[in-house]
Amino acid sequence: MNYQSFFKHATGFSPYHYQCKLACGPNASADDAKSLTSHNQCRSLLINIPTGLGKTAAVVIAWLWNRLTQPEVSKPKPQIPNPESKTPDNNALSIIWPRRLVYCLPMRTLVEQTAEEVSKWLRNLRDAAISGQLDLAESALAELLWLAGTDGLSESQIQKFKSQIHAELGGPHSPIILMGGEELDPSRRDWDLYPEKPAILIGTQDMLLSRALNRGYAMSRYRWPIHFALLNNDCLWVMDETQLMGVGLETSAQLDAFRCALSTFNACPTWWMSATLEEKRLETIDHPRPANGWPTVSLSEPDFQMPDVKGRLYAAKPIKRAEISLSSETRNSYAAQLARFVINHHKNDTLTLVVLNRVNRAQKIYEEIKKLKPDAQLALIHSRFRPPDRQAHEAVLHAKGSRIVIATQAVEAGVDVSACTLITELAPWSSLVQRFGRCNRRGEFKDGKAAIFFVDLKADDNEELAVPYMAEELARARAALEKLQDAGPHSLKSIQIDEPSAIRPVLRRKDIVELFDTTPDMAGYDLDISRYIRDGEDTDVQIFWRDCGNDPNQPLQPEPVADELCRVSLPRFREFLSKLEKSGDKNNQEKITAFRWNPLDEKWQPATTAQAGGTYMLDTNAGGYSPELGWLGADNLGQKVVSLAPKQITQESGYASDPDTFAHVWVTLQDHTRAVVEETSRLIQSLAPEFAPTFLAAARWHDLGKAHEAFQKMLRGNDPARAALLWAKSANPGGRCERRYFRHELASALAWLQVGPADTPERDLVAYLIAAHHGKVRLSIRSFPGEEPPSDKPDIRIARGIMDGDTLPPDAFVAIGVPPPPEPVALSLEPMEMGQSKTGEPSWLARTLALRDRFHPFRLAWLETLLRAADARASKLASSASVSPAMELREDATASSLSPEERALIDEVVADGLSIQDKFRPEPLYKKTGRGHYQSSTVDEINRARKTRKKEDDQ
Amino acid sequence: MKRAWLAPFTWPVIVETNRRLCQPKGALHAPTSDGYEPPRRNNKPRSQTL
Repeated sequence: MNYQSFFKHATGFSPYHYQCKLACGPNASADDAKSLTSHNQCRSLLINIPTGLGKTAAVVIAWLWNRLTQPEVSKPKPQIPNPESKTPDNNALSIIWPRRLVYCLPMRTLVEQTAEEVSKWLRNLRDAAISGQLDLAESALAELLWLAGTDGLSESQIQKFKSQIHAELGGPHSPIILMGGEELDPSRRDWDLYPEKPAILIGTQDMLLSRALNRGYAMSRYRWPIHFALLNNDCLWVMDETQLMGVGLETSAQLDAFRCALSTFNACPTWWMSATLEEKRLETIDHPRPANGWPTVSLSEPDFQMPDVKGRLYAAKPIKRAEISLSSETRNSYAAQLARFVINHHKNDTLTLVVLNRVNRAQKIYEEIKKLKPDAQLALIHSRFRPPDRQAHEAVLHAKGSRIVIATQAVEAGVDVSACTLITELAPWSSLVQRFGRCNRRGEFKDGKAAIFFVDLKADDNEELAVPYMAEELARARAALEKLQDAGPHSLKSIQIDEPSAIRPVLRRKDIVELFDTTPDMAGYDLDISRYIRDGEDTDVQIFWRDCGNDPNQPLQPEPVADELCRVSLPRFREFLSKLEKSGDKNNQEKITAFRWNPLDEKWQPATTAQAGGTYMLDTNAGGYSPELGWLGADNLGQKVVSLAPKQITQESGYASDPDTFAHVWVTLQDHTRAVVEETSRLIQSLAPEFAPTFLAAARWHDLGKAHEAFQKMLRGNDPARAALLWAKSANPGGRCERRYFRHELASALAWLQVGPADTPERDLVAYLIAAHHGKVRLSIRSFPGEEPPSDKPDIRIARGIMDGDTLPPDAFVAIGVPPPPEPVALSLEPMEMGQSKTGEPSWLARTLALRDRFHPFRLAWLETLLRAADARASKLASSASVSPAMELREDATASSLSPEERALIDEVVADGLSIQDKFRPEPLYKKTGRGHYQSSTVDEINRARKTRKKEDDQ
Repeated sequence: MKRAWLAPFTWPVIVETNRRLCQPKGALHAPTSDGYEPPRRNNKPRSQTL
């Protein structure tokens, strides 16, 4: 097997030469089969390839090739280095290919298209491997089956490869799409619980960069550190269509530099890709240009000789100025004029693509064309749609036959369509080049059939017409177009326009270090990272609609799913909110307002202003949206919007809540601790065995704090029969702790510091891992607003529901498997004070800052994530333990269906049984088999006894 | 003498009794490989001698 066959199995096509070099090294060639069996080093580089020449396949298949086929013997096990040492420079050679491929795109329209292609390639490779056409080692096959899942495989195929298939989740685990909103597919939703598994993540720069900065948009703030860890360690980042990323490009360069300087688990390089790559912008203050430049992959002479490449590079695209233009004088009639121009130049049975610079202009022209030609197959493409509505339009874009598609810059990058006629508004040169790429893409329209028209924008006198661009940018592009008669890639090669450098905010090292702390400031706000993700005003919020009236807390509205969310520009949403408020006043009606989730108070509250990256709920009567046109804002105020709330829902997470605690099953503290210790042990052995003693201690102590009486009362609810045991999880539907903001993990961490074994390596790290295992107690411990000590003890310290002197019983220590203290342990909140304690012990903050500075933010977050993953996985196993309906015990249903006579009978039998129970072994006798039932050692014992008895009888 | 001595011990009664006996010792109350299905199938009231 070589790369050519691997690539062909995946995509159906043979690779270009540059694709072979990317996968197999600089000496590889598509004509030299021997060179296609090697593997490349993994390091940061640039990929400068024209549009339409398979960049996506190049990077994804190269990553798969190196992950799956690199011989085990040459793949050293990644070690976590000593805190003081650094991982290799991302530009140095690394032969360990990262587990996660993080594919970053500037817009949502590309994300779904890319995800579809990746799914197809994974399935193709899986099918080829299963049928024996691809020869993969067992571990590689296991990775591929994890990625591609078992959907579509026959039962016999699944049985044949059962040892490689993960027992619990059969669905594909990749690609994972990060676009905001709850992921409903369970096999992909929990990707972040499997740091040891491969994954392909595809998302927008908003979603991915915000997570890389520890402030993930559209996700629970308590999971921020997990995504921060997994996207800054053991990843290969691919920044595609960088010309559209704005400041996101500079941020990615700075992150690349920080990952080297602050070190990561395994290398974490970045590939930057574009047809119009601006290398200069990667030269940021902490990311200087290397002496010999960055390694670059581009087309070489052998590529230029390939018929496919030739066809694309030399495709004929005659270009002319359109007779109409947009100016102050024509703005009122512009939509109608342009609509007529489009209809007049549209050719039957082909695609005409019209690209406008603004969403509202695109919407107006769409409506005008619809009026003039109601029978036309028409579509509108922009980024301000909810996904199902956008997909309906995109289906027309990708259909066959006569179509007219009105679009914005959303089609500039990577969208795989080829129009016969392209009509585009004037735009900056790099944008125009991308738009030209959507016309006659493969050179399939011959003899001058393809045509490009550009519509001038007379913005020199009226800069508002240039928005979202600058009038100077348009002037430079206009000057270049005056000289141009053909806009094919070959003709464009000679045109070079130097855009002046924009001044953009630059993420600095101290910023990324400070972002490690996720505690909001005293006013409840977080560090605003939007200026590092999108340029200036180009920032978005996400909106969804529900039938909630003016009180979304009665009933409590759950978090949105991805399909409900519409991205809206921040300035336009603010304008909408302002008009919404005024419309309520004007009509003397009850005001409709937007709502934002408050995780501390665990409720939706009115949002009077909007912040970049925020998610806001509107009542359906607020309007502002049309399924056909997308976001209309104030133009559609008060027009009812159909809610897309799904049936399957998850409640928003709050500070005090613990969704895993009310897990539909009773699990003792003893059992849960044992399960987490086992899961942690497995995970640590594969990722960081040097830290085993530290992690095993943290796993054992992590839930000790659940033995606090307030927490146990919450779990038990009104069932005093449960008081005999200490519980970790409850089958009750839910409950509130009597101590506001109570966090059991703080109690666990304090107990560890006070009485945990002194000889455990990295004691402070153990304490931190315990405290941070739900993401709610991390660098600092301080009281929340509203947390007051009881009136009879006004001077007592209180934080996160824990008070000085609260006790944990000796039984709790027995339950977690450690020698119990002679008396209950009284917790001390002394570590929350600043400075050293009276006995010279450092404060909590001093300890955690020292950890952060010693391990550095990326690696400390990664260590934190490992225990969280183990805990969550153990909890999932417990709650899904009894499986087949026939075997389901249905505790609650059983208890409630009993008659009084039956209850009396049970009481009598149980009383008898308990009176003699001490005569039998107390420890649990059952072992999980993972096959939906438990293996009973008692039954085994009985069977052995029977066999022995039979043998004796026979003798 | 034959009677359906175990008739009052319906399956819900058996399950609930089992659950309450498991609790104090922290035993996991869940199906086992051969300790659940066979008794459940055989749990039919029938006349028996003591």
